[in-house]
Amino acid sequence: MGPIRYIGAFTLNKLKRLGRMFFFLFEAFLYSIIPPIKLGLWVRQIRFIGAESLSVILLTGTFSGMVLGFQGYYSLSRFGSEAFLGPAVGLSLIKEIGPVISALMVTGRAGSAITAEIGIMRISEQIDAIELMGLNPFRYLVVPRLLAALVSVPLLTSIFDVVGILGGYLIGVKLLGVGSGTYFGEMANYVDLKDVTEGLLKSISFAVIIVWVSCFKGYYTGIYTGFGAEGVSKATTQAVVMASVLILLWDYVMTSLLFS
Amino acid sequence: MIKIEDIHKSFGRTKVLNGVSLEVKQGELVALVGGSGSGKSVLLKHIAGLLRPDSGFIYINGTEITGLNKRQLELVRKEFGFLFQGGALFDSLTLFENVAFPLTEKLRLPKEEVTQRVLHYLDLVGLSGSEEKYPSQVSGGMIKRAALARSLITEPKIMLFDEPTTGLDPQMSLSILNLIRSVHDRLNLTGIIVTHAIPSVFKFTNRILMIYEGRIYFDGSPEEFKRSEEPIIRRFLGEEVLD
Repeated sequence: MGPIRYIGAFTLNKLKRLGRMFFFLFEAFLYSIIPPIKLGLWVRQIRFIGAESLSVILLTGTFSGMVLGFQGYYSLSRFGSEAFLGPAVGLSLIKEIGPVISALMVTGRAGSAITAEIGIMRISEQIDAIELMGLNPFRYLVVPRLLAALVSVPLLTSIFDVVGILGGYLIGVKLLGVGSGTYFGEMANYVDLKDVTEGLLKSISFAVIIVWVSCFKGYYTGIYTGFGAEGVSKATTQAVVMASVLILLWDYVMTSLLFS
Repeated sequence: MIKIEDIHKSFGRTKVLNGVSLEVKQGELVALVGGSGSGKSVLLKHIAGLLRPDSGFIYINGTEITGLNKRQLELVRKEFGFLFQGGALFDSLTLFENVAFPLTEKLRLPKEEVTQRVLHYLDLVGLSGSEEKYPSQVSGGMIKRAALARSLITEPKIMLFDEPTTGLDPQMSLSILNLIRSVHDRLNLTGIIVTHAIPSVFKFTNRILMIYEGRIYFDGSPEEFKRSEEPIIRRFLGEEVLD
């Protein structure tokens, strides 16, 4: 009976946690559409998640584009198709690399900070204090971050794409000698609005994943990870790992859905 | 009015509350005492609806709260003021903003009235001049006093104080207890003070509850408490017990 009971308890516990996590997401969406929305907090979070992530996005975007410039040129030159470097760089960035790497960067920079901040608020009873004032903590902690990420992450992804394309241009055109008109002209021929929409849809869903996981892990610090500094540290690590894995899994799901 | 009927609560294998029953009438100010880890704060959090008991019932002004959902609890909690052991001030706000928070967010009062009331309450707890400081820039005692001001500023009907005087010097402890007493008398609020401030607290309450091994072990007046011959109470009061 022992092992069976253990497996049963373990499974029920995991299912309960999963259910709580989905209910958390449901509540986050629910309070995002029911006023009042805390505009001041929303703007502050746009600055934190969006504006303050800009430098890391510019840096990683440029270098990703430059690497794609090299690798794309190397592969395409084998078939004598260097002229298609522009579309290769553009499509890779817009459909795949831009949304995924931007989301991973935001997870590392802002997601971890969100979990740590909310986790500290949980263990120092600040969330309990909000509840005891008869107020809803979701309106102060989750909704502003969710709405801010929905604005910021697609914008950061777009910036990533643009600087990435310019990075690819720098390598392909300035260093390896592909024609400037060819680079942009072929890109305009082969990159459709549908591709841009696909990338943006991905980045919007990644924004939800980042805030969902980061806020959930912070909100339940103590319950799932133990209290104190160690609890916050565990929650932060779990949030970054889980959000990153979910981003990559969800990327596959979306790609296969959009592909078909 | 607060009424608790036979509540039990365990964390893992540790039984913290083991059949607590008590009743606090409207306008009564009660001191809840007991050794460290005896379950005083846990009991207070049950009353506030922050924890749910494994079994038993809790009535706040006639409403049974253990079965309420989040939205219904929000309504009940509007009557509450709660002072946390660690203060639970918001790190990102100044002391002024912390104390003003329930007024701006909960009561939505006009700015001038908020300023006036916040300055008044900060003055009452001896924090005039520290309005613009953040919790990280002040001492633990100042945090506790600001938290007390925040919990009293909405003039709640039920007040739960979790160790309001811990970390304060004797003079400040006395003035905080005086403040609690005066607010209680003025508003006729129902209050429970979890405290270790013995014997000061004897002057400020008419009723002492002692929790021991997860149950209410003593319920009576401060005089009866002081004169009790129960070894556990004598030991708690720090006096030598000769069997």
